[in-house]
Amino acid sequence: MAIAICGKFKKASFFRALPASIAISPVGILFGLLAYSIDWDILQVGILSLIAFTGSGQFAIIPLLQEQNSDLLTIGMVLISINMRYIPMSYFDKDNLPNKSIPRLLMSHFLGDEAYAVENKEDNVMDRIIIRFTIVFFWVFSTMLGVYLGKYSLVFLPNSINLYFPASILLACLSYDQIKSGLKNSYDNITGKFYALIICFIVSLSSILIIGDKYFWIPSIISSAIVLAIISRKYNDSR
Amino acid sequence: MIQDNLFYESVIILFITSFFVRILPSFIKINLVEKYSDVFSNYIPLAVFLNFLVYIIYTGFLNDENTIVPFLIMFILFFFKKWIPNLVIIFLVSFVYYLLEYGTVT
Repeated sequence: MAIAICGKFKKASFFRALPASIAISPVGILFGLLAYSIDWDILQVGILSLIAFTGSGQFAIIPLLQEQNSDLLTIGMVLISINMRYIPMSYFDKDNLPNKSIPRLLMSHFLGDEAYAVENKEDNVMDRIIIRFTIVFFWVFSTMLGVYLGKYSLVFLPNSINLYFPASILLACLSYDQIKSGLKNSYDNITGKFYALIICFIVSLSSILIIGDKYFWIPSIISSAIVLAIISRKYNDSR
Repeated sequence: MIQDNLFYESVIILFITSFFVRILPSFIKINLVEKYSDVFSNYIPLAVFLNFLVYIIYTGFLNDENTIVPFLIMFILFFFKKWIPNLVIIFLVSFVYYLLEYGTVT
């Protein structure tokens, strides 16, 4: 009985991770094609995608390293800035991770935007392992497939094609699901939900415009969380 | 040889990046006052997703004006999300985008 329930949960987690995994695959293939253009082989791309699993960071590093004037410290700082959104995500996700160091290290390393958006509060450690590793598997496989397609000239893409778009829509869909459920859990009435959405939208957009779209993440996330808490206190108490 | 160096440097720098932004935060504990700890742990995830959505739309508009119509379609489809799976929304919205972007060949 317990095994059957566990199996059902695992299967459910796998199928929940599948749309995200499929949607990021074109982006992975694009990375593989890019890596092939600088003569990296399938094995190198697989290793990089696994050990250095960062998605956007992987795309950013190739032009950064190829620039003559870039030193490694500057590149490191740029990459950390691009990926700063993970700091609050990872910090507040740590209670959902295994206690042992190595599994915890692996799970936190494999925390991607898509996995974060797919996972729910109710998910146990096994659900999270399945979701993260399914997405990582598809990512690594698709980057390696990209090299293969490039090597055997099996794909011809216009230079300007934007393969990120489906992945952006996926992230928007998953974010919408999480926002809907988060608002439902945090606010008792429609007025609170409305103000939370509008004010956070203004905070976030202002932060992007003032600080820039690379560095706005941490100030904007913290300001938005404070605003959400204040609105929740005000409107939930006044019911 | 040069590309090999590029590969090793990429792996090291990206892993160090992951270490600072994902691994380290999951191992450290900051003693927040309980009141504020609750605020952050309850509302940070919601704030992250709201910021994601604004960021996706903002960068989409900024980089490519052809994203306006697909994004509008996406928001309309969100009203029917109960009946439409994410994959269908991704397919429909992406199809409209690629049609607008690459549909006419001159």
